[in-house]
Amino acid sequence: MNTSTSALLLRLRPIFSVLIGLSIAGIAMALSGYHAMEALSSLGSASTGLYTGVLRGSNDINLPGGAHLSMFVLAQSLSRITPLIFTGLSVAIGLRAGLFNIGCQGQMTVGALAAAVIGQLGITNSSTGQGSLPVWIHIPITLAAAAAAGGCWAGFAAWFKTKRGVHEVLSTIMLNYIAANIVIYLLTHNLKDPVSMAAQTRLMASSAWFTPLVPGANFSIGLFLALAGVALIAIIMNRTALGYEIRAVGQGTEAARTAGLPVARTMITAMFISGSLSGIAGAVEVMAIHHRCVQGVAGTYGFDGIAVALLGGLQAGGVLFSALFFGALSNGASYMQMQTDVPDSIAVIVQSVVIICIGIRYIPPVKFWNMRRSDARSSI
Amino acid sequence: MTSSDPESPAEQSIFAVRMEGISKQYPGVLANDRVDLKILKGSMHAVIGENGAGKSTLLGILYGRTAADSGKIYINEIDLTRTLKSPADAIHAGIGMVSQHYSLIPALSVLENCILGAEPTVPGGWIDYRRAAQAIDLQINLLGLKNIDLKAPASSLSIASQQKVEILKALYRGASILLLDEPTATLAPAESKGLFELMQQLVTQGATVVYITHKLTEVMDYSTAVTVLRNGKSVAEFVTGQTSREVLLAKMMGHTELDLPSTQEKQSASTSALTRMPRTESSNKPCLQAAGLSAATDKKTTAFEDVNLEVQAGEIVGIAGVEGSGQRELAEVLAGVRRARNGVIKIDGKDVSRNTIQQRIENGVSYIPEDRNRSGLIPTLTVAENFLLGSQRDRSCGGGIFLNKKKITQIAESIITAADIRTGVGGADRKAGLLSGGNQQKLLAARALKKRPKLLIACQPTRGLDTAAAKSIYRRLREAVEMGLSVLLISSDLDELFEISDRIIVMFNHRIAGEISKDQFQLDTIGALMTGVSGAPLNEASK
Amino acid sequence: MPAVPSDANHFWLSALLWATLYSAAPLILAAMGGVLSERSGVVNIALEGMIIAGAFTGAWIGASNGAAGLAAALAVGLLLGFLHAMLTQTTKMDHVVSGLAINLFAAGATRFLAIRYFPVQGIRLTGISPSFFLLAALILPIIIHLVLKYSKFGLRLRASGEYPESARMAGVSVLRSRYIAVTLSGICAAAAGAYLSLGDARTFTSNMSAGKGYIALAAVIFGKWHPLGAMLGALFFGFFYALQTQLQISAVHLVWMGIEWNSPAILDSLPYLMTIAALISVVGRAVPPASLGAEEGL
Repeated sequence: MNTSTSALLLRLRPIFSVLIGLSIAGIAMALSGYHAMEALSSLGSASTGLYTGVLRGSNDINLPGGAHLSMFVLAQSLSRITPLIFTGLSVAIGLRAGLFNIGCQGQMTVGALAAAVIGQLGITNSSTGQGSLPVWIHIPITLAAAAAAGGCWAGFAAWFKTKRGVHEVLSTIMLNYIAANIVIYLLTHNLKDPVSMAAQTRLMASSAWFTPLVPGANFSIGLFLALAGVALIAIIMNRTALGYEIRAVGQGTEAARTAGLPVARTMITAMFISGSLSGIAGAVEVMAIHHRCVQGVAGTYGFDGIAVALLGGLQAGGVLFSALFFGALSNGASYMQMQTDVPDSIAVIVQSVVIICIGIRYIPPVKFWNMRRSDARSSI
Repeated sequence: MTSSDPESPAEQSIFAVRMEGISKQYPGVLANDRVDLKILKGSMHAVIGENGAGKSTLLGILYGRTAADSGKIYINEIDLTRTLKSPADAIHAGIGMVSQHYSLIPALSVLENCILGAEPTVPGGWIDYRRAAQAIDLQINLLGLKNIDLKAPASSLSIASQQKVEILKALYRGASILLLDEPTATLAPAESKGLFELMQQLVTQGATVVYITHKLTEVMDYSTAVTVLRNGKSVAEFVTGQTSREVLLAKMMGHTELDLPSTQEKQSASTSALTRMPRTESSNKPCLQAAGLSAATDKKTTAFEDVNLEVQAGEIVGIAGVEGSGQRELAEVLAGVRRARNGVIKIDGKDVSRNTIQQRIENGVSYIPEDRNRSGLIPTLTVAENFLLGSQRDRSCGGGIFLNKKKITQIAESIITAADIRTGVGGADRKAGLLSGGNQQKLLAARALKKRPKLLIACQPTRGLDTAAAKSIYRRLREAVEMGLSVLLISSDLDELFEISDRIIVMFNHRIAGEISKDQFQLDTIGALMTGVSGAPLNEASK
Repeated sequence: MPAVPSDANHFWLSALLWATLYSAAPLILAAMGGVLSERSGVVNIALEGMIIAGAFTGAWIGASNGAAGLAAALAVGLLLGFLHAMLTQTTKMDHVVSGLAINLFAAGATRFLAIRYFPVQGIRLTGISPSFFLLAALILPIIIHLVLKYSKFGLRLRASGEYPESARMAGVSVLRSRYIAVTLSGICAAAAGAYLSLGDARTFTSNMSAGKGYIALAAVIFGKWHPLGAMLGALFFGFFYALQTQLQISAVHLVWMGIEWNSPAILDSLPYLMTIAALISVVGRAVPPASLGAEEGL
């Protein structure tokens, strides 16, 4: 096996990983007595919006060969992709600095809460959401508040790490639970919507809403915000001194310290950026979909971000494609559960298998698989 | 020696070890190329060669640590090529190894270290500590060792004692063939002598000893036979009595490099053209002043205390000492990497004691750390990115909020040419981890000198380098010193210190034991100070 | 919470004490898994997944026969432990990434199987007496302490975690030590899971591990990687679980600065807050096994 072949195999590895993940999911479904092929086809259709057979809604597009594209389903898939891009970037930038941020869940939750609170500013009609603030002020400050909240929440973990040596995996996990509980408390007490029975905040002013781009679906301009985020992170990581410092600290902490780099500050900054991205993910969820903070607003996007970042090779561009896959997968899984009764947690199994396939560095007898050292190194 | 020798085949066999045609390929390096090694039973066999000649790889293969790609291995004339797959197999075959890097486990006690892997047990898998202690005591008595506390953690032993415990450990397992990988690299001269005498004693008791060294004195004084490796090949084999230093050196270096001075010649050549005149009297402005410095180790014990020293502008001051005497920590404190407990550090009269690393760099302090792959370079970044490390905010280096990639590459390429760094394919874009040790060290030196510092603190700058690469580093240092740089050189290579220092400060037992001026550069003088035999009769560094 | 002995019921403090022991039991069991794995040099954040897998398997197989459920749970723990050992040691995967993957896998698989085979979430299992688990949790740390300190396996395990290359040079098979240690670690964590479903709740819910694996790991660090220290750490965190439960069932109403401090949501975060607080206070001074989590070349 020559080097160019092995380089090609390494490049194709994400694709193999995805295929293996889907195959194992199929096998698991078949073994559990489900109609695996039916489920997988339902999964595929609901992921991409591509269906065979008759038209479903007025927005659908006919395709040659008797197939059609459901714009609604596609839009729902794309709306799932948006937060995943943010949380994927969030995990990726943390790992580039050598920090394993598995607290995106909590950072997203506090971000959503902050956005919901700031989003209520200037509201004049609490049932329709009419507000007095101009959109061009309200949307930026809502996003900024969410970014600051998420950033601080992650910043705590970095601070504990740099000051006291607390491993970030443990502290971010604990912060997830704490965030979830605090938000539940606030949604049922101080910030509760008095007119509703549900645990949720008041409606936000419509000046802080993202209007859906496909009627009825959750798909909004949030996706374009996410794409801008991808570009911004790519520029920061590859073209700026800050990005260089983050990479240097992540790949050679001791060497960076010895060369006079501000290691602690860089780690905290990276973690703050990481948390901000997760916070914005939460903001986009409330601004585009719920228009208020609700219980479980973060879904599982925070944890999904880990798989997204790893499959994306910790690169901004890679995260985009990997989010496309996992977002479509999770949307597909929800529809599949409705249509075929197969539990949507099959998507989580796919995720875990993909992570394993990506993470394996060495397969004993076959030398060419010997993967280069990934950035995802973290110990203790 | 031990009763576990395989008696019947051993009687006929003359060779304790016979390795034939051993080859080992590492990525980019052919570490062993059809090497032959024959070791007579009951001999004291030296394996010599430059760094990178393949000595450690060869012994690693013999000990089952590394698998050879091809070749045959016979132990006591039994073909063990196929069965020798792990150290456990080697131990079973009667081989013991004293390794430089993978020695005792600090957190375990001496006894635990000795029996690890060969524990006497009672049914149920419990260790029979009484039996273990008895067996070790027996070996201790046989060897006539003293003052070994079996219950103490290995971390509390001196390096010399640790090596004795390692030998103990091998003998406890019934080893009749002992392999030692550069056993004296970190020992003071007197300790080395003690170790060799112990090994000779073992040989008289029937053992076979194989040791790696690059000190010709140790070959000539103690070995019965010697094998020379060069560039992964076995180039010569001698009975020690029938050869000479000069012949061995020629074999080690290869004919083309005969003009380089030998390690022995280095000492006598200290006044030759290779060294420069001391500049101490021409400039008496202190560049570095340290007073009353003390600091702790990572384990919170005292690293060094009450250190006072001065380095004049344009002076090279060496710091010698047995490993662990506090010299590494001293360098770290001066560079700002480690916090001082107390004391004052001044650069050009300016107090930098409370400065961060970055501020010290701005004040003209530059540092080459000992562990180049961890504290020096970032192996996964490119050569150009490694040059940028520390100046990523400096616009003149292509830094700033936005990086100027073109400029960064240009600067890197010009330094690569100037410092003769051989990066191989990819040039400045090659990953620094793929460079050879010598080129990595050149890269580090070039980076340290890039900003024209006033003081360079260099820790073991040539450790692990071959002679040519070391010479190149010395040349760079001299050039910089001509421009007014002061150097504090921490090194365990006495030849190196003698060759380029203007004076040498010796540390012993976490303090400065004394100072030697250039006219007193002699092995016994420095040896006495390093082992605490003589006090500090010479001029104290502090005033 | 399991039934508290009736004679202690009258005394709030006594109830708190028992509740502490019972809350700590699963943490101790999982923490012992953490000690075994980490002392051998393998970071094990997969404890969380092993707990949930053990809880589900125990409930699924043990619906009518608690002992069979426990055995099945331990077997699944063994498999997951072996998987973690294989991924980190044989395929050289980053320990944290492998642990996360196993956690995800366990969460996904148990949820999937629970919907398929265990649809009635409120079902009451026959179960196993919680005292059995408590007893195990109090004895196991002592056994592990003795094994680590005085047995051949324990010495080799410690050596593998400190300086694997030195251990290998001494003829120890580091791979073997770690495989055994991490596999045992999975069994311990699965026992903790079996306690949650078979011993305590007598049912299975998919979020029942609720971060206990991570808290157990924090207890290991808090106890400086020593089995008895880890047990104390687990008891410390168990105390806050117990306090939380006791405050929730008590009639006391604490309102301060406009916040209801004994509302369930606030009290629920107590163990997690204390975990962070404990880590902040102790970690700087705790020295992990020298090669913990280190990547090794071949």
